[in-house]
Amino acid sequence: METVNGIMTDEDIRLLKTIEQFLYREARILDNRDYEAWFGMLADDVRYVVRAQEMRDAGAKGVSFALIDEQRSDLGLRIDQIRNPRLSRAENPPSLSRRMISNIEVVGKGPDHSVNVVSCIMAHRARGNVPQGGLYVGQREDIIRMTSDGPRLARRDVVLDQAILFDGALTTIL
Amino acid sequence: MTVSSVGGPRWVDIARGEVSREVFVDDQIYRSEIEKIFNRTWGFLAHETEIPAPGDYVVRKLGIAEIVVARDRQGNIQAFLNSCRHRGAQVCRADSGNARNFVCPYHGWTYDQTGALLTTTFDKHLPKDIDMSALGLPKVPRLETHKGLIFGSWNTEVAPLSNYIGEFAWYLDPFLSRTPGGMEVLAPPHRWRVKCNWKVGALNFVGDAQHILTTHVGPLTLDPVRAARAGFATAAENSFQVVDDAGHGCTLTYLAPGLPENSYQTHPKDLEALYRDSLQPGQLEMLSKLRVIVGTIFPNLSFIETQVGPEEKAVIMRQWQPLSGTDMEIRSWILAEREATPEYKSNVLRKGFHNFGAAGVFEQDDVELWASATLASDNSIAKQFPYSFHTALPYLDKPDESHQGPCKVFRPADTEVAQLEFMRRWGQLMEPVA
Ligand code: FES
Ligand SMILES: [Fe+2]
Repeated sequence: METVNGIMTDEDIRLLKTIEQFLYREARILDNRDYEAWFGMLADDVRYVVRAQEMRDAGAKGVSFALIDEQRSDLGLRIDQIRNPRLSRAENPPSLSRRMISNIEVVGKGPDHSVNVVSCIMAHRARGNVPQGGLYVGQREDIIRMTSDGPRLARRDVVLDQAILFDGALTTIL
Repeated sequence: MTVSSVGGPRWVDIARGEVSREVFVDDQIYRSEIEKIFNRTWGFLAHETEIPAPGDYVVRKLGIAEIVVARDRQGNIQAFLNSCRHRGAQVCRADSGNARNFVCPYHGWTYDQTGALLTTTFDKHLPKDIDMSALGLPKVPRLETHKGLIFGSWNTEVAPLSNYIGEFAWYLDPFLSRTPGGMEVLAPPHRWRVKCNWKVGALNFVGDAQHILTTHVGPLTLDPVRAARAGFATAAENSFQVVDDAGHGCTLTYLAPGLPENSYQTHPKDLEALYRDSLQPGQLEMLSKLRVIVGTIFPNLSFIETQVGPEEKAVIMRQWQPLSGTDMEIRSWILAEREATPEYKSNVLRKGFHNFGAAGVFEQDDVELWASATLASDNSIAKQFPYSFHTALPYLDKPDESHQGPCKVFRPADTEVAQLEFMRRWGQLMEPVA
C-alpha cells in the first residue's frame, strides 16, 4: 500500500481490515465446505488459477505453469462435482481441510474499485483414515473488487511452492 | 509367493483370468520389474519439443535411474546418467533449463552437452595415461525417436524402437504426427504422486472401459458439452480393444449408432485438412469416427485423446513412474498440432488439464480409487484373493475380424481383454517359463 512515510491513513487501515476479514471469512467458508456461500463471494467474471513451479537454476527464469486455469463455468463444474456425494469419489467422504491465510498486503489499486492483494496460504487436507495429509503452501495474488454488495473476488492466482503434488490429485480449493 | 517361485503358483494366471495382488503391492516384485522390464526394454524420456534449442535439457528417469535429456550444439539429442563420475552428485539439480556445459556442483568436474568430460579441474594431478574419454557421464546406450517421442534403453541388445512399436504405430501415429509439423508439447508436465503401483495406471489406460460410468459419474453427469454422453453406455458394442504382442494396447470408442456424427468431430476443420497429407485413408477414417482413444505403450507410457470442449480435442500423454511397490509419480503432458492457432492451443491446454491434469475432474476420482484399492490390498489376508479379470475370458481367443487396423482387435470394448493381455506380456518378462 502506498503510504506517506510508511504510515497508513485511517482509510488505508479500514480497507486492509475489510480485505483481511474477507479473506478469513472465505477461508472459513471453504473449510466448512459451504461452496454456495463461496460462490457468492466471487465476481461473475472470476478467474481462478493455481500454478506449480519447476525447479530452475538460480539466475534462470523461473517457470510456473498452471494446474488449474478456470472461469466461473468450469469452476462451477469442478465445485458441483466435489460438493455432491453422488458425483465424487475423491471428496466422498469429504476431506477435512484447514486454511491458514497470512501476510496479507494491499499492494495496489486498479480500475473498477479493485484492489490488488497478496497473501500467503497454507492449506492442509486430511483424509480422516490416512495418516499423512496433503500440505499446500503458496502465495496468492488476488484482485478483489469493492462493490456496493461488498468485496468480490475477481481474480485469484495461487503459486504453489512445489513442482510435484504429493497427495494425489488436487481437490482442495486454495 | 516370492520372486523365486518359478514353477510354483504364477502371478498371472491367464487360464483362470486372475492376477495375484502381490503384483500390485510388493516391493520385491517392484525391484525385480526395474531389472527385468524397465532396464531391458524401451522407456519414454521426453518429447522433442520439450528441448527445442541447443543446450535445452530436462531431467527424467529411465527405469529408476535419473538421466539428463539434452540437445547438443549440433541439434542432436543426448541422454546420460545424472550422476557425476567422481562422487555421484547430480550434475543437474533443476527440472529443466539450458546449459552450455554441465558443471558438477561438488568438485567441479565439467561435462559438455554430450556428457563427455572436459575437465576435472584437477587434471594436473591425474595420472598421465588416464583416459578422460572413459570418464564421461554414462550415456543411455540406445536412443531413438518415434514421431517426436524420445525413447531410450539401457539394454544395448534391445530391438530397434520401430520394431518395438511395430504395427501398433498405425493406432498411435494419428495422435503423435498427423500434420506436416507434428505435435507439440504445450507446457511443462503436471506431476503428482499416488499411493499405488504404476501398473494400476497402465492397466486403466490400456483398456478399462468398465470404470468410466462409475468412477467418472461426476464429470459425465455434469458437463453440458458432452451432449451425447448418454450414448457412452451403448458405445462399447461398436468399439474395439487393440492388443499388440509387445504388451501395447488401446481402446477405440467409436460413435454409437444414431448419435449425430458432428457432436464428436471436434478437430478444427483447418487442421483436419492437413491430416489428409500425413495419414493413410484407414487412419483418417478411424479419426473421423472416434470419440475417445486411450491406450498404453508397454510398459508405462499412456495416451488419451478426447473431446474437452465444444471445439477442442486434447491429446494427453501420461507416464506412470514406479517409485515402490505401492507408490508412483504421474507425469502428464498435453499436446496439440504445431500448426494450430495460439488460441486453440491455449484452449486445449486449459480444458485438457481441467479434465485430466493434476487437478483434473476425471483424474481426481481415478487416483483416489487406485490408492484405495492399494491400501486395501496390501495385507496377507487380502493377498489370498487374486484380482479378477474374468470378463476377458470369453473373448480372449476370439479376435474380431471386422476392424481394418492391424494387431489383434477385440469387440466389444468393455471387457478386460487388453488388460489381461498386458499382464500376460508382463508375466512373460517377469516369470519366464523354464
Ligand atoms: S562429485 Fe562431481 S565433482 Fe566430485
Ligand atoms: Fe479414469
